Amino acid sequence: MTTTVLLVDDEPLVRSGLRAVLASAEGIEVVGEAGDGAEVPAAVARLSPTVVLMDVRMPRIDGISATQRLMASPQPPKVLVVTTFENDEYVYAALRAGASGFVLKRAQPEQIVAAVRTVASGESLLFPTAIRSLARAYGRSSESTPAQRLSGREQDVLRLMARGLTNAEIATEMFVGIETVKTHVSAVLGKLGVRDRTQAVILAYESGFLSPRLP
Amino acid sequence: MWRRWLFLVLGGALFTPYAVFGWVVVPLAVPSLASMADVVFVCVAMASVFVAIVLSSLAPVVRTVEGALAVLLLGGPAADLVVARAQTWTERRRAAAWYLLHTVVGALVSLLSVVTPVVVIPLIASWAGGRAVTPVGASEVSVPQAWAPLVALALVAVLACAVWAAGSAAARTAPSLLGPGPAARFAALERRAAELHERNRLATELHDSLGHALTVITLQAGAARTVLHTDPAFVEEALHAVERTGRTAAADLDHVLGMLREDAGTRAPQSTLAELDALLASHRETGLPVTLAVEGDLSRLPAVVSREVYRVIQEGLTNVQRHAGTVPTSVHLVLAGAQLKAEVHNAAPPDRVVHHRRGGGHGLEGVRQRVRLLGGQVESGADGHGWRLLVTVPTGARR
Repeated sequence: MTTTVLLVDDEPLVRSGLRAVLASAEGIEVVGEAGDGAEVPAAVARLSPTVVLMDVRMPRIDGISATQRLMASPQPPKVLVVTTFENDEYVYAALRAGASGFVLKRAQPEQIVAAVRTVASGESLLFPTAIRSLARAYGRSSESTPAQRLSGREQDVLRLMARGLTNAEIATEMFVGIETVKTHVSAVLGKLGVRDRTQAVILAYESGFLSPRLP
Repeated sequence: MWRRWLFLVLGGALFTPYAVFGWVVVPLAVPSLASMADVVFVCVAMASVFVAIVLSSLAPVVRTVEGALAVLLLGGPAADLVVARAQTWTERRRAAAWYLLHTVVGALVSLLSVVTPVVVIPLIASWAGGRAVTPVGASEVSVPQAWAPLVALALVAVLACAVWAAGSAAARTAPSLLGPGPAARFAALERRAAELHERNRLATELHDSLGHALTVITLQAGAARTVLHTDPAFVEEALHAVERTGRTAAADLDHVLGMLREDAGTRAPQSTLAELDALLASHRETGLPVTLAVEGDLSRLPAVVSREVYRVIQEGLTNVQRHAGTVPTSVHLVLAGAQLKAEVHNAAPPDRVVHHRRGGGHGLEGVRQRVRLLGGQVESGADGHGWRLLVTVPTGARR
């Protein structure tokens, strides 16, 4: 199945670069571009892309608001944040708003392609270490305690998810079948009331279930 | 130690004319004093000395001279003093207090320095000659021969201690009496904070613009590598973009580092409109086709206007390169009556609309501040064919 992509960035040179990188990758098709967060809802409605590559800092409507608006729609696409700076409060805010991961604009073309594929599949967490350090720098503590709502096995799965493991890797680690892992993952997402792994892991850090401070 | 002793003795030397004034001149001028009791005479003499010292020390130059002496001879905490004339009455008062202390303590130390050898030398001599001693001026006191060296040593030690104590006390006190007062220190702190703030702003701006440029370069180069064999047209475009972005970023870097260096206090003479040709030439070298038209004789502008308008044009051109790229640009200066109009106009870039990246207002904010200080006005905005920055400043010619 082809992964369709919408590019959102205010800088035309970034868009053309990303387009060239993604167009040459198999199974990925760039279906449209937008120069501003304000154009995103209409473009998504028209093109229904699998993944939106979203710049965070943009004039008028930035990537955070645009992501928030997308997440409010019934069947939102996955959002992959593209960013110039790694340690950026805006990136974390976009992740909290519902983006599934982020990739640096300066990353190697192969990494950018891999990031799109990872986010499209939803099978693992992009850059677990970077997400932890973002949570450490910008995270807020919340009241909810996921640990109380999850079974012991589900808690184990959440910990492994936070380390960036794929379903298959989690299955190997826990000596169970991959179908069992998928069931646990859906249970974790369902009980925490989140859309994907990134949201689940951010919640795990912010609720204190996992400590972003430990190595 | 020797330097501090010299400092104190100089204070004593400065005291001498005042002493002469108090003990000789005043009694000569007021003959009735001579008939009064000794106590009254001494009090009047000392009061005249005191008044004379304080009055003469209010001269602003006293602070300069005393500051220089303290730096040269006291050292220690006083070594970092900035020598300057007194600017405010607070500084004059502090300097006067310092001068009073210097002369009076200096006189006492000088006296001790004179008396000590006068007493010590006969002591040693008589001890060496094996006679009982009667120190000069102390006819009732006679020192047993065996004690003579001890007494001599003790006197020398007292002098040394006095010099050491007075010297180090002076070095410690100098910064508070001769250094900048609270107001001056506060102003200096404020200036420093403003400078730091400005440097932080520049650093952030540089980080943003360079980070952005490097990202574009990296991304375009990576993309070109990916499609090298399949899409030569894109590769060519990408190389153009890399070249253009790199060049602009380098110009940006040059500009900001230049400002940082200027701020660093090298105080190189700042450029004026006389160097406008060189400024435009350097922009032409980075690919900006820029033309210049001047009406009026710019050389009769006040230096401050010339300097600030130069900076405005400099920032305007940098903004053009940053936001529109190497598009045809014109600089137009009109000096008429008591007004200077400076305009930087650039055509819209061919491939995209004129467009503001975030942080783009910074340069213009700098322009606004400069122009506001000069009492002028700034207009800027799109004008259909591109972007226009127009600055109007009074030249102060009508006065």
